[in-house]
Amino acid sequence: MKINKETIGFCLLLLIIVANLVIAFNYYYLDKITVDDFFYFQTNQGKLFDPNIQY
Amino acid sequence: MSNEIDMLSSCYKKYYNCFHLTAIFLLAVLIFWPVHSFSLLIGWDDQTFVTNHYTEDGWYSKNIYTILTEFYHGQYSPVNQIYYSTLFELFKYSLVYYHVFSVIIHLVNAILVYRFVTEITNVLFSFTPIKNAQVAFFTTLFFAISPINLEPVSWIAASKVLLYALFYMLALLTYIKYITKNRNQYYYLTLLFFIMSFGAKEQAVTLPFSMFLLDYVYNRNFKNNIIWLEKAPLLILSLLFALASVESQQIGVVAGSDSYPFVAKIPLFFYTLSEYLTKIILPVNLSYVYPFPFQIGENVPALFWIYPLLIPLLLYYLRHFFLKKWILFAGIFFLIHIVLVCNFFSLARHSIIADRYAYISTIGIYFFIVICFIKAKQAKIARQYMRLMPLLYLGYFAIYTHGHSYVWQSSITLKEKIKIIIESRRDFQSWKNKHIKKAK
Repeated sequence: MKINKETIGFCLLLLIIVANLVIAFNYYYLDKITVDDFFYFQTNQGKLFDPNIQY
Repeated sequence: MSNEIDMLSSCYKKYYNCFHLTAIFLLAVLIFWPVHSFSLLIGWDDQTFVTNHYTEDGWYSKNIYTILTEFYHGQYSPVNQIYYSTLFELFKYSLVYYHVFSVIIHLVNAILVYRFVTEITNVLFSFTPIKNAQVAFFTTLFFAISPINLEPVSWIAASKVLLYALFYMLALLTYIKYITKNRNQYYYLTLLFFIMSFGAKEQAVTLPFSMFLLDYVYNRNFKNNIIWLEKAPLLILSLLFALASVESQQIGVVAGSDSYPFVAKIPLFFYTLSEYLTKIILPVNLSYVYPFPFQIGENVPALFWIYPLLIPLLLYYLRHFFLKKWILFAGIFFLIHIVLVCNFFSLARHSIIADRYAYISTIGIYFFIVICFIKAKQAKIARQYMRLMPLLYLGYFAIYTHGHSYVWQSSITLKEKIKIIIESRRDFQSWKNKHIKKAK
C-alpha cells in the first residue's frame, strides 16, 4: 500500500487529537491542582488568583 | 423566463432559510432551557462584573461616563457594562432576564453566522442554492449547540463574549457588503461595529486580519493600494486597542504576576492550539477551569515538547491540502480568532484555556467539518454512513451541551467535579489531618 504525505499528516493530526483526548479523559489538568490551591480556589483567593482582589 | 426562475429561486431560498433558522432556534431553546433558572456564580466573577456599583447606578450620565473612561478589575468592557446597567434598569437583579438575554444574543449570533457562511459558501463553491443553504444550516447548527460554546451562554459574566461576537459578525457582514456593493456607508458601519466589538471584549483587535482574509476569499487584488489604505484606520485602532488592553491588565488582575519564559511558551502555544482544536471537534470532560500543566519556574514535561515537533511537521505534510482555498479560509479563520489566547502573546492567567475564547473560531472548524461531510457524500465515500454520521455527531453535541449545562447552575455545581477529584486523592487525607491538628 502506498502511503502519501497527506496520509502521514492526517495520522499526526489524529495522534495529537487522541493525546489530548487521553489528557481530557484522565483529568490531567485537575490533577495538577494541589489541595492547598484547591481550597484557595474555592474562595477565589491565593495563588491562582490575584491576592489583591477581595471577593 | 429568466426573471421568473430567479424569483422562484429567491422564494425557495427564503423558505429554506426560514425553515433552517426555525429548526436551529427550537433545538437551541430546548437545549439551553435549563439556563433560565441558574443563579449567580458567586466566587466566579459574577459578583465582580455583574453585581457592582456601575450596574446599580444605571443610565445616570456620570455613571456612563465613568464606565466609558475607567478600567475595572483589569478589563475595559464598557459595552458589556452598559448592557448590565440596562438590564438592571429594566429588571433589577431578576436573573432570569439576564440568562434569557444571553440565550437571545447567542441566537442572534447564530443568524449572523448563517448569513456569513451563506455568503462565503456562495463565493467559494459552485453548489446549488439548496446545498449552499445546507452548508449554512449545519455550520450554524454546530455553532449554536456546540458544548464549547455553552460557557458564554450559561455564565452571565461571560456575556462580553456574546456581545463581542455579535458586533464582530456584524462588522464582517457589513464588510462583505462593502466589498460586493462598493458603498462607503458599509465601510463606516464596519468601523462602528469594530469599535463596539472592542468595547465588549479585547479579542476584537483581530478584525482587520479577518478583513484581509475576506479580501482573499473575494479575490481582491492585494497590489491595489486601496485594500491597504482602507485597513489603515482599523489597524491603527487595533494597535491602540491592544495597548489599552495591556495597560488595563497591567494595572488590574495580573499585576505583579510572573510570566512563563520564552522557551516554555513555545510548547505551551502549540499545546494550547491543539487543545482548542480538540475541544471544538470532540469536546470531552469540559471544565470551567484548566490549570496550567506546569508552573512558572518548573521544567517543561517531556510530553509537551511533542506538540511543537508534531504540529509543524503535520503542517508540512499537509501543505498541499491547505492550498485549497476553502480549507485555507477555514484554517486561517480559526487561527486568527484563537492565536491571541494561545499563551504566547497574552499574559499568564490561572487557566491555560477557556471554552469561551473559542466562540468565534469554532465557525472555521465547523464550516470545514460540514464541507468534508458534503464532499464525502458527493464522492460516494461510504454514502450510507455519511447520512448517519452528521446526525450522530449533532446528537452527541445536543446531549452533551444539555447535560453539561446543569454544571453551570450555581457555584456549588460548578466546582463539584473538581472537589470530588481532589477529595478522592491520597494527599487530601493527609492535608485534612494536618489542618485538623493545626486547628486543635
